[in-house]
Amino acid sequence: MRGILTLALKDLLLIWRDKFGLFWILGFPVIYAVFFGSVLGGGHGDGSGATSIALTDEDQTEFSQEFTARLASSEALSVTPMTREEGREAVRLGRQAAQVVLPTGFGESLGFGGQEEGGLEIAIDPSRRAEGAYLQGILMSTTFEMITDRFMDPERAREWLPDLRRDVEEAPEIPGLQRDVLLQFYDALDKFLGDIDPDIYQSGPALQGPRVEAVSVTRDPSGPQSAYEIMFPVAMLWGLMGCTAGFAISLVRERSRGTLLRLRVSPLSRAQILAGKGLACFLACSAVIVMLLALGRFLFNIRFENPPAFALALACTSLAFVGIMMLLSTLGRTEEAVGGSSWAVLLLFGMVGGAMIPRFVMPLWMQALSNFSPISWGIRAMEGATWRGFTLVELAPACGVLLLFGAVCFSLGVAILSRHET
Amino acid sequence: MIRVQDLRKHYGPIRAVDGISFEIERGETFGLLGPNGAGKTTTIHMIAGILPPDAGSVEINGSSDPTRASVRSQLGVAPQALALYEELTGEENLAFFGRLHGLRGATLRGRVQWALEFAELTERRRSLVKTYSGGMKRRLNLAIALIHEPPALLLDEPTVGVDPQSRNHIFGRIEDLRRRGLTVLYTTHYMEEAQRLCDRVAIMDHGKMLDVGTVDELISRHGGVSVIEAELERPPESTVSLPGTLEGTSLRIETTKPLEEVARLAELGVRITALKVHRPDLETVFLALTGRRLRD
Repeated sequence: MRGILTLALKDLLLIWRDKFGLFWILGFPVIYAVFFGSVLGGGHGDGSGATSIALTDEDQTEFSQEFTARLASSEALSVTPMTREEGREAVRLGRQAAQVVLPTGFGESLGFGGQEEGGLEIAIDPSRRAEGAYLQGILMSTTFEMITDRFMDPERAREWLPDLRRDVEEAPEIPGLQRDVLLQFYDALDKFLGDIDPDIYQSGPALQGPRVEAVSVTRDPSGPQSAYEIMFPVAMLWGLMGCTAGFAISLVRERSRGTLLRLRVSPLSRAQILAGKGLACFLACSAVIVMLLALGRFLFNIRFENPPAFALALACTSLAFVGIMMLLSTLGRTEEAVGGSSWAVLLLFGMVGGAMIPRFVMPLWMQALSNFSPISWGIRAMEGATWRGFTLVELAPACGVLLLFGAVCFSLGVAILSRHET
Repeated sequence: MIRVQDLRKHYGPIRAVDGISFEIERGETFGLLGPNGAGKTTTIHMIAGILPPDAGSVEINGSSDPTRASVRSQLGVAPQALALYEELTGEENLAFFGRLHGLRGATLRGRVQWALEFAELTERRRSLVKTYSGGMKRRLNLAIALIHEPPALLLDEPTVGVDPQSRNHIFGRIEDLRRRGLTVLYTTHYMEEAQRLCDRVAIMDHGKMLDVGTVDELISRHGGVSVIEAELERPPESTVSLPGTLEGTSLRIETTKPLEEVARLAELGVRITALKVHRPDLETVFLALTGRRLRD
């Protein structure tokens, strides 16, 4: 075991001294996570996952202000008051997902009869139509709630009646007999609302739409709290790709520069030499994951609440990439050949596995294909161990696939290496 | 110390080593002399246990399994390629390989110090190997092979690509190791090295061992005669007792005993203005055995 540890420490020292290689292992993933985390988090408002909207209140009535307050209290929205021009520009530049304008007459336009003018205006970023549709639902729901609340207050409901009477009286298309019927109804309603005890009135049946309750798919119902929670697991996998390519190249370098031969004539067996290389790769992969997690946790508030699950995900992901490293080291006889082919394979895995394009935006066939990429399973494991809050049992499928992938690659790699050496 | 019996290795149709046998006594320096591709390195790899032979056996100090750790620890190997970690210092390289051989603590420190002095690298101990000259790397390559004090040393072309000064340094160190009683297997394609350093030499070509013996034995068996070329002050009055053939004042003598012939000329009172003695060497032996030169 001492020999294996000695080998591993030597490899870690060599990696540490290779500043260029170290950049791809640690520097690039940090830049990736911070850059894309801030870009995506910034574009989506305050980073809480809420849809950011610009709100322009040109009506400035009690009703419009109450409407604004209700939108602002929604967890699904992040509301920033702006003028019409400012809001339109913010949406155009992608800083806000949409703009909502409450024009003059908005308060009066709601309720019975409705007005031609004063309707709600919304402008949506074309690239975020799904969020726009979601926003329209929230606006309809809020409007409906406010009308219901107004109707359930007898005094406020009576305020509508003079307008309603005037509309009916001035509508030429309504036949005289029907107009009388409607006016009698308004009179009766006015008397009813005036006479009824408000408490008894409000305790009766009210207008109500279907209740929609959001069910969380994560332990913490708020989902990913920021884009950083999405980006850091992906960055960890970028770090592992750097480690894997680096160690694959170092293994072929040992062969091409003769140091592998020198190791082979030492008292260590071939299995111990490969174990030393594997241990170094495992430790480097683990260190990269831990460092990125620490950075994400302390600087970007990434959730980390289940250390045993995280340890399992870390171990399985790192082991998988040790196996991949072993196989990649056999893809050529020179450092250049192995370096080039390793990155080609890893980038392909990354592309399919969600390291470049998130899995959920991929077409279905590509999502199915991503099941063959260890990057995809690594991201699932890391997300599960952080913000998704997986239990050990829930992590097991991803970890199992990773271990299987690693074992197959390791066995193939060792078999090919043995063949090369004889 | 090392016994090789009918060792064979082939790569497809190529017979890299084709049934060679030899034995190296404890404390002996044994040379494998042959051109590139003769099978010297393959032989060393099989002796060191890193390449399995197709047939034949290797015995080191009585053990017939060179892959065993206890057997390997009795061998020091300096590969032909500079097997060094360029991003580590000379001291770190030595300490790393020392640890692999189980050295720890004061013993390790002592051996590293000894190896640095042996390679004359004490002053550059903390410099990265990539900053060393070719000769310094060669010396370090040799020192690493000795870090664990092995009783036997396998040196595969240890002077390839080094300057004359470093070569002389390496020769001096190997002669020093000989005096200490180390068993050395030395491969080279430089006949001067084999002639200077080796107690016995095996001539190899195309995987076969053509002959083995001391340098003198090989020369006497295959080297043929020495040639004396003498330029006389004037032609002698009588050529009856003169050995060789005379053309004008140039005398040419072919003999197996050149010194005796020169003494005889002096006895005859022949006045010589210039004298050249061409003695056969291992190059001549190789030429006689293979029909071509060592560096063809």
